[in-house]
Amino acid sequence: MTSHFEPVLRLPNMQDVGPETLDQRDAFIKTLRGVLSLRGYERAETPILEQTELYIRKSGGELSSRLYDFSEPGGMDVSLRPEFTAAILRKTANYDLSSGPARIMYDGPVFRYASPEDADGDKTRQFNQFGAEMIGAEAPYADGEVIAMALEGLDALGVPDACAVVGHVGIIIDALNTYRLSERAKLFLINNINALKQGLVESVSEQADALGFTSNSHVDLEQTKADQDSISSTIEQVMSEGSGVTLGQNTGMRSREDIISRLAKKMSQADNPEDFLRALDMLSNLSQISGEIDQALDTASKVMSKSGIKNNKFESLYQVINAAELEGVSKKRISIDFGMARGVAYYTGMLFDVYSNGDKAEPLGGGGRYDGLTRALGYDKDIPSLGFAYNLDTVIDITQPTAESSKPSEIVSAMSEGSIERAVAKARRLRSEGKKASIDFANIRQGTK
Amino acid sequence: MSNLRLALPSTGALYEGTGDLLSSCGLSIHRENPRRYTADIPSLPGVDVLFQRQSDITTEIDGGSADIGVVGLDRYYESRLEQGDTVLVHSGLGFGNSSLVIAVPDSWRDVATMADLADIALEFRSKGRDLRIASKYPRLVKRFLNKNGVNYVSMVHVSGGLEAAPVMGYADIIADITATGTTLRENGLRIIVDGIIIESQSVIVGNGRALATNQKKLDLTKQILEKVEATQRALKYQRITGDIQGESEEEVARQVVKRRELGGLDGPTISPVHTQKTDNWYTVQVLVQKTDIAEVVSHFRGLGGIGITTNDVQYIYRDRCESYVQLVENLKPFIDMVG
Repeated sequence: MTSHFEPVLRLPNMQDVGPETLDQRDAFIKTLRGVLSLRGYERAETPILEQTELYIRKSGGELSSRLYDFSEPGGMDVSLRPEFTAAILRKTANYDLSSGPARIMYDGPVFRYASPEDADGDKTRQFNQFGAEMIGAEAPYADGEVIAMALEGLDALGVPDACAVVGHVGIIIDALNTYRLSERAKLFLINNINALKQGLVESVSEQADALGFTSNSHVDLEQTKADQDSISSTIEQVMSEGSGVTLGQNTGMRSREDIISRLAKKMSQADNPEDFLRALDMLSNLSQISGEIDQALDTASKVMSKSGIKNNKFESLYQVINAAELEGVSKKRISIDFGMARGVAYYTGMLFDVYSNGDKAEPLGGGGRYDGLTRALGYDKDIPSLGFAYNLDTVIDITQPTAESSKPSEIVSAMSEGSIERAVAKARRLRSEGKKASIDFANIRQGTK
Repeated sequence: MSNLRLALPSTGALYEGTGDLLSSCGLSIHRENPRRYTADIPSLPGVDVLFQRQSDITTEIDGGSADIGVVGLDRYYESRLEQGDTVLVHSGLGFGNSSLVIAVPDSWRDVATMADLADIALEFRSKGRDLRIASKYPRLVKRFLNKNGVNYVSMVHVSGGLEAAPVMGYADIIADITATGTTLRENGLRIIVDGIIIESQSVIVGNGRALATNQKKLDLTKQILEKVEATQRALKYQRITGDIQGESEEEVARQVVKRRELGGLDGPTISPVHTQKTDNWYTVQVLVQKTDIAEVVSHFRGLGGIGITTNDVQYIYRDRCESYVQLVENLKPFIDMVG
């Protein structure tokens, strides 16, 4: 008889995992814990389910649109964790860090949704991370430690020619600060670094046009300089005189005053289109610079000075790389990428990805410094912190199986032993000797008493 | 053997557009009376037409109670199940063009972009409220808002006219489908400049499993696709005919294809005109894009052409039906499934 129901299928882009991969993963985690514990990292575990708010505050749009969020039976808005950092910080933000930074390592599954239309729509939506965070440590030596450790871990796993690509969002922000741009404009530019890196400056420029960054239409320069109050009163005046800029009937839950004061604030912070375009040009050139350390820094210096930026913060990147070298990382294993950016707004300093064999197709892991995250999460202080995580599944994919393939268990057959009683007895004896034994129940014959 | 069940939108722009398209393809729908929710296509026996609410069609097809259907791409993306049975059968029928957009009260003069909206959501949050957005597309809208950093929102599900929601006070902003933006403007709403969630038009979707396992249904679907594709292609072309004098057919052909781009879809057809005159005249026919007609006329004239006429064509069939080839590709997972 056929079942009325069809079998329930596995969810798309989720995996069932067999013994070889599980053994391999266990072995890798054990090795990595060994490497990190030598540096004083201690294990921690946080719940797979957290309040959605934790991840919304942490991430920009990139990650929050990938959340598996839902209402749990108790009525809370919750999400499967898309990463560990926010939860680890929640756990440690109130630690006493006076006697040194907290060093924490963790591992487990994380969940990120990607729709079939997304560029990475075929990626596995549940994957395993192994990572570490160092809470309460300033640059550059802590940064050197984390980069070195990420490479040491890969070396210990037998990943061939592990190397790191390092960027520095602090340098980018600092360079953008010379242009007197609004926070909004800076965020727009940083969010578009990836596109600029790919040479899509025209499409970014079009988008900037659409968003009004490059047009003078809002307000002229004189008005830009005027303070908020006077703009605000000008707006009110224009509106009360009814010269076409009426607010309309319905303002919903926002008061007229809310709208006018925000409009005034926006106008007083309006970006000078020339400044914006110069910043866009500089960033477009800078973001395309990558490669060997000295050469990349040299090219970047030229871009900066050509753009009239006198003081660059390259020194902080140098210091991080030197700190990594101090930890035993050859400079040959490090390259620079000024176009490196993550879709999250809280990174403040060094960023890095690790790869194997110079194969830049898919990073095996990555990390960076996020000094502003504790405040974003709602704590009233900035705790300088950084961390990294491997995508363990990707690491396993590119390595040869090294985990000891476990010996198959001996099959003890009820039939060939003569009876089920004899088969069980033999299997028990084998197990007591530490050997694997499993019973084949086929053709069971009850023993003759 | 069972008929192909074709679900069509029962009301609105897509209802009219579908009727017009099928008529122009020679597949006119015969409906006994406008209150009946079933109909047939006399020129294509074996097809049962079912009129349904557009918002239900994807789900009906996924559940197997219809085989193929016409919906807006927006509806398809909103309602489909990722691992469901529904596949795209034709990716653009050329009508029902519209966009799903985010619109705010026009009085919110300070809100022009999604970044502004993210600000406002935070402003609301700091006052202990969520920004409420009314939409019939919760899945698409929520992801879009999140991608743009608008995180503190609550979705309000509304079944009637959305445009009134902000005035009535049960939502702050809306996400709705619009073709021209007129209705939004008339209701005091303004589209956010980077708030276009999806550009949509009508498409055909189908139940992959049903099509992969029932040859008759697949054949009928193919016949519909052939006609739709040939009609759509024909709309872009006209046949232009003129008499040109020349030494020989070859000579005239050489002259005509000197402007390669005006040589027609498959090159000119040339045949001798049998006249009393002593010199040789040839009738030249080319199938060209409508946008090139003026050029071709002046090209023919330049060659001394006379008696130039143009005709519409009803169907243009090429060596293969592109959308059917694509459909067969989309059906592969279902064929693998049944073995």
